[in-house]
Amino acid sequence: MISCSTIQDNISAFLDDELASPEREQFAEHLVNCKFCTQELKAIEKAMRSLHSLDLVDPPKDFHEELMGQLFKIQNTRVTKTASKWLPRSWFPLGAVAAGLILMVVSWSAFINGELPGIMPLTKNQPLELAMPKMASAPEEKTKQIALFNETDDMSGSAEVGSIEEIAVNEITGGTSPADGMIDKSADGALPLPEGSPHSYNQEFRGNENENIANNGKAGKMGVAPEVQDIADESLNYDEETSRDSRMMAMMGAPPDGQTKENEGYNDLLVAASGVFEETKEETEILLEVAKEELPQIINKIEKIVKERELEIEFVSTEKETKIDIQVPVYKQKEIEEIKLLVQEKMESIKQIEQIGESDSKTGITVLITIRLSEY
Amino acid sequence: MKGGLAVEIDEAKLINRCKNGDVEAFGELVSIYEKQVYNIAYRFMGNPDDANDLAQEAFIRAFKGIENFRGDASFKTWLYHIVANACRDELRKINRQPVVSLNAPIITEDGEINREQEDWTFSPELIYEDKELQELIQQLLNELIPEYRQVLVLREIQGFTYDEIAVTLDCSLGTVKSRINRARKTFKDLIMANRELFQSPSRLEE
Repeated sequence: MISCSTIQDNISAFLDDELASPEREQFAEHLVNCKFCTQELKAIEKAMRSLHSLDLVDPPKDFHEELMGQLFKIQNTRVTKTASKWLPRSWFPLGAVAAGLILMVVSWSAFINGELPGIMPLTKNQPLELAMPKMASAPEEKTKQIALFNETDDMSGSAEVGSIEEIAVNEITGGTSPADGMIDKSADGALPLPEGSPHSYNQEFRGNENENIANNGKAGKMGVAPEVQDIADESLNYDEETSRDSRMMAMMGAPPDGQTKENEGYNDLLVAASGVFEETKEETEILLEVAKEELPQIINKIEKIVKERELEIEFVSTEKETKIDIQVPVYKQKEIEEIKLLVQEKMESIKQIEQIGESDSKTGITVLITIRLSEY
Repeated sequence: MKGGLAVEIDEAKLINRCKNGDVEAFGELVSIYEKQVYNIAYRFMGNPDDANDLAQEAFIRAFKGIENFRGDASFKTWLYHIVANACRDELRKINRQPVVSLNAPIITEDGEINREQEDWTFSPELIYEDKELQELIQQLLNELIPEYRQVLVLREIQGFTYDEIAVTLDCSLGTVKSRINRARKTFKDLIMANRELFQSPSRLEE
């Protein structure tokens, strides 16, 4: 004979038809003889009916709109990442910090034939010292590879703070196909990571330069083996935003042969870097050293882009410095990428000049481009 | 309830787009689930303001974490899991010990209603359809501890199976079973204790 307390414990299971066959019959049998349990069962049924009677309520009218507004804002914030979140202040020694590597393979030819006649001949004929491995079997086409190194948090998730993103550009002679090999190597961990780095993840970009740079903001989602992404996401203990931060990354020339001897190789590369990106949630600051003669060209280009997109722009020029302030409404976040792309092109071109000693910092002008996000 | 392969495929496509940062795609998912999500939050939290905040919060969490959604459970379950957690976190945070006095006036859209009003003469058929009565039921629900409230909302209002509840609340089936049983009993006792408010005590007794 089943006790009342056992019945009481199983009332819900009985009501929900969750009792297996023998118990179910025993339960029913008990009810026939036990008024108390029967009453209890009925009372519960009725109480539940009161819950069933609850109508669905409508969300507030502006629920959807308000939410979407917030989501766009979040997405936007992701795109304009803080460099500071993932670039430790002390890049060297790399020590305990995990370095993730991101490779970006871009077409050089578009750049060469592009809008920078002033520097074209230089870049075309005088590859930088920091060359990528010699690529076999290729058309005459040149490929520029930019390796993007991304410092990520260590396991503890403690985010060291740094502030700069440095860029170096390499030019390689050779075809595009060997890039596969290089990327594979890097995916296998052939590219050096600091010892003890718990994790890294590698990403690969291909396509034309514009697309690649413009897509920086989405890098986290492209071409990443899901399991690798998972590792990065989980074990690095990111919050979701931080993990996306990883997409913006220091751009550095990959060391020869895609493999470095420890960290020395990076030092050289960093020396070659000249542009500084600094990003916060609200704004992106880009600091350039520009040769005087190139300044008008840059300003024209930026102005054109900005005006075409009906963005507000403000110039303040002094002898030594030009400040360009661009206001970008949140909903025009694509424009930010375009502008950054443009500036990156500039930075690369500038670097080319510097590399071959045609730019003298004494004759240079500092250009501070601030791209600000405005709410509306 | 979502059913249908086509729907699932569409949803999978939307989710993939979300993973690529497509806010519009997520917006479509929001459109599909916002009412349910809001209702869960509303029943958990017991008032429209918190429900609004928490439902928004849940969608935002979902959006940020969409990359972690791997399709082990349905998107719906995954999403409701997030809502449930968001609400639970909030309830813990505000540490709102449910001390709703049943003698306090009930606030409705149309103003306050005094519980002690004598002339509540509802016909039995209509009794639960009445807005104020629904409000009263919600007040009683608010008196339950969050864990009980959660299982009752999911089981009785959302019609979840035991399995779905286990996944949503991240607990074992055994826990779900015993928790549902205790939650129901507690809620029944609450109603019994306040049966005079329903003006129809016999309905609850026999």
